[in-house]
Amino acid sequence: MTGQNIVEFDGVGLRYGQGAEVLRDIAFALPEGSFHFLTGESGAGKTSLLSLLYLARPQTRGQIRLFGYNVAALPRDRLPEIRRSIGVVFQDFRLLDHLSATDNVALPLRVAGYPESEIAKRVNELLIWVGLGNHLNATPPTLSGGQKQSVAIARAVINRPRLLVADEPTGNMDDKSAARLMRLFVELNRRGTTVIIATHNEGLIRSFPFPRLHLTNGRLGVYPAGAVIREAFRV
Amino acid sequence: MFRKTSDLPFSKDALGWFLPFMVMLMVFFATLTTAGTLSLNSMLSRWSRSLSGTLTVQILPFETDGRIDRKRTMQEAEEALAVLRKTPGIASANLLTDRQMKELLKPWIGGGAVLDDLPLPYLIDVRLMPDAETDLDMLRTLLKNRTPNATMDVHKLWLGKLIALTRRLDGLASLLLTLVITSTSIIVIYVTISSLSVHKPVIELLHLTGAHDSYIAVQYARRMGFLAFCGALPGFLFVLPILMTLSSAVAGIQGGLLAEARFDLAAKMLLCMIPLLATVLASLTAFWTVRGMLRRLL
Ligand SMILES: Nc1ncnc2c1ncn2[C@@H]1O[C@H](COP(=O)(O)OP(=O)(O)O)[C@@H](O)[C@H]1O
Ligand SMILES: [Mg+2]
Repeated sequence: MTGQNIVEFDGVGLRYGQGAEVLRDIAFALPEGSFHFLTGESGAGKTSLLSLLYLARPQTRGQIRLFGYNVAALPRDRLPEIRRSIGVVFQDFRLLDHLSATDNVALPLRVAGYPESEIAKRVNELLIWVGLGNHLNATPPTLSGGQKQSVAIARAVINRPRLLVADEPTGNMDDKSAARLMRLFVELNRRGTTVIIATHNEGLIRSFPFPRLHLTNGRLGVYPAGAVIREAFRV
Repeated sequence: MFRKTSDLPFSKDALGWFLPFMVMLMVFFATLTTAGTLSLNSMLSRWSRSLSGTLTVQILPFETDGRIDRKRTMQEAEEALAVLRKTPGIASANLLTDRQMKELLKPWIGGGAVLDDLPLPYLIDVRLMPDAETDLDMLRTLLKNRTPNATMDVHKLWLGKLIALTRRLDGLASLLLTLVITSTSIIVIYVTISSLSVHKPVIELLHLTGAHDSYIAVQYARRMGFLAFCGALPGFLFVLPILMTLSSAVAGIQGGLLAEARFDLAAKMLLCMIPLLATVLASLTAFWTVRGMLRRLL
């Protein structure tokens, strides 16, 4: 499958309710195994675009193909299977406060029906690996911001997704932690996971040789690694 | 695999303890109604088993000059026996002996010499052939003409009335149980829907994580089943002392027919099933409610 596009957007638009379109004529493709940054000012529509990608809402026009499927045409009971191939790090983490770190990370596996013994083993290993070995039973409200982020990332990758979507995952991290997190994403990408990361961090973008999708006023431009972006559409 | 915690933070539900409370009431009424219906029907089936196909002919004692004329009474009894034995459809007709009469009356009057002085009627125990169409009206007129002091007691008649009454009570009980089942389902649906809207963000997350609707529905089924059981058990247990009090009160009615109201094993098992059925009902209702509601999403 390598080389094939696992994500294809064609003329995609999105509006919330009766409001103006926040995304317009979005067209791009993510080849399997690729790594992309998604940039744009706050409010440019990064989260909205990613939410279409992880099937949180349907687009209001255009076509989205994921793993070769036209998702708008799929029956509802086929969507879980596609969502299980997508790992998401939400901008606000969306951890379940009443569950331990272990149970939070276990969620994608439970939902997919893995046996508890396998779940326990995989979750333990991953939590130790992301540095939460001492907080396995801690609930999110008792964890620091960085620790919550680690739980959120662990949950996104526990089921070895084909596509990893991260919405400003380094948002409130110092440079050292951000670099460590990026190494994790790069490592996952080397093993075949397609990655798209929304970020504000220009320094981060410049230190990695990955192409960049840039949103301005709801429109998307695609730029090769290292390109300098002038805000041509700015109003 | 059973886990104690659910993926949904149910403990925060405001309506949490409303459901067990309502289920407690419902199970209480359902158990009481079922117990009443079962005992009534078991009583009735015992009566009708022992009484159907029988009738009693009673010959009142003749009195001459204020004294009981035993000889004449006996003659009339023999006459009645003759008539009965000639009637088609009658399997047997037997005059109860003095001894049998005394046995029969002992519980009420006690033994001893008192009985000898009482103006006791003669009783003829008649068994009808099963399925035979005996013309009881004709028999009655015949007896009236030949033996003026004889009266015929057709058990079937008052048994029939009792059966009709019981049927009506059974119908009422079914209506009550239907009402209880419907209300329980409605309460579960209501609590489930309100909980779904409280937990909308968590449900969205579960969906995005790749959960099928049924994964979420199962968690609701477990939760509502648990809550229902928490109410069903006390609701059932509260009925037990009432049933015991009632049954010992009934047993106190010496020798009466009511003493035969006993629960057999099947009835006991059926009663014990009620809290379990309530639990299953709540679980299934929650499951299908969640499935139905989620299908309307996205
Ligand atoms: N759920 C929503 N309902 C209505 N408007 C929204 C919603 N989410 C985002 N928006 C609007 O869409 C635009 C893009 O937002 P967003 O996608 O969050 O941008 P970004 O992630 O780049 O900051 C903003 O104007 C925002 O107000
Ligand atoms: Mg955003």
